[in-house]
Amino acid sequence: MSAIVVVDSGVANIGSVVAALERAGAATTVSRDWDTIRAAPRVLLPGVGAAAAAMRELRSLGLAERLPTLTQPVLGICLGMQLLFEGSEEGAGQERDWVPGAGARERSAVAVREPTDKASASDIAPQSPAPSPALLPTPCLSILPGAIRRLTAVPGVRIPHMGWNALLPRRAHPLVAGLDPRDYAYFVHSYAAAEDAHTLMACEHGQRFAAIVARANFMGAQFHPERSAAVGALLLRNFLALSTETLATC
Amino acid sequence: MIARRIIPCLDVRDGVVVKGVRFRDHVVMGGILDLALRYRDQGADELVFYDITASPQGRSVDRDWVQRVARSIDIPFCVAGGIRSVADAREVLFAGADKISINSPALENPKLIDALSAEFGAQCVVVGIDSRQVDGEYRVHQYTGDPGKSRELARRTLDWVVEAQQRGAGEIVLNCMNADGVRQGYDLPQLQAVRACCEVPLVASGGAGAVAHFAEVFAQADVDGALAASVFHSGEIEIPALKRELAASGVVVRP
Repeated sequence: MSAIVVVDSGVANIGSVVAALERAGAATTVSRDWDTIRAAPRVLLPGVGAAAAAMRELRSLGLAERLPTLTQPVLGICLGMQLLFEGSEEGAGQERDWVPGAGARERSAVAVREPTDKASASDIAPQSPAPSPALLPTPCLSILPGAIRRLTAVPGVRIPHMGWNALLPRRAHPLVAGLDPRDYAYFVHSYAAAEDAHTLMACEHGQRFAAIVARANFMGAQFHPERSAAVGALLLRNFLALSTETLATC
Repeated sequence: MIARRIIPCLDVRDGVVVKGVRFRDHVVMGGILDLALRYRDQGADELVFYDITASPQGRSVDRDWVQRVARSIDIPFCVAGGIRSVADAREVLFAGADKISINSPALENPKLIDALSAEFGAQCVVVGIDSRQVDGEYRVHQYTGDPGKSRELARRTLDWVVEAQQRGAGEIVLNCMNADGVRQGYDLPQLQAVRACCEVPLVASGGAGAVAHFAEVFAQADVDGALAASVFHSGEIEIPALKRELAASGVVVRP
């Protein structure tokens, strides 16, 4: 039986993730202890909630500097995937993945307000298309390049992106073996990474974004495998079957 | 593209799934886990468990089943009924529910929506609204779970939909009381009116009696999900066949 450690970053509802791993046949341990995490054959970084709070927790546990040094297969899911990137637009003063009630006002203003309404972005030229990840309100683990940005609301595209959406294949990889273009996964988020060379599968909700990513031994899924029925179970089984040797050839 | 959701609703009382003329003459349908797994296997996109006696009587409910469901099924589910406080919601969410839905308690205390959204995020806060047209105006009804307590409020449905979003609701479930139980189709005019002022996901409830009703509510009211109970429980509509017909009529559904 494959073994895995789920990083306990203090968020609610790790139970469903643990249950999904157990259904996939993994001996699962939940821990926030670095020695336990480092010694694990595989590591899963879960996440529900806000980027700033999650990074604060990882720092206070002494894990923010250490997680990037892991060499075994690591899978971040949902916010856990977003934390693998350089930084998130989700602000330090904005504790939630989605600002309640910001809807109508924000929707009409979103195209013009972006660079100027973030306190930490005040030094960016108004014409700048997007601030560099280093200037984003919430610095993350910088294991994958790029920034996590808010999905843009357009007519008929509702944010948060909440529901089942199709996975669009981009690159072959053992993590996505057996997944095909007709497969749907369950998403709940308002922020996402742009597609790039590390994207294994993309998704579209008003815009294209990365749904599954991989760089060396670090992988991520923006959706919730534990709530994505057979598709999620397949992804978890693929992850549990990965070895460092296999990944070296990807 | 995001798929339109098909959502069976299971009425739960005393830890078992029941059905009947609403809130009277309940018949036990089966175990919660058995039915949840059955609908998951049929391709339901999400489940709603509605604790039908909780809210009117104000009693707290044994929630052990929430954790059992969370660990057994691999699709999202929402728990409605009897959630009156942040503490109630925390218990249900920490047990593994993906969302909680509040209805009468939000009407008693609208700030509960703000508190839940701030604490857990808008994505898991659903506001259920029972509504019907009275003298040309859609109006909210409260305590509809109890025939003795059910009452019409002065509050206009469209105002409440807007307020609920401003307070942090991440999804609205609109139960159209005129249509509910009649099986003549969803209340399209009311859903269209609510859609026009609802920018978070909107789920239609009440009135499903045939496959065509699902197709028209997605096409004409642009709802994100359609909830139904009796047509699924009776087996009159099978979810795989429903999804095939929806796909054939151009509605994006998860196969």
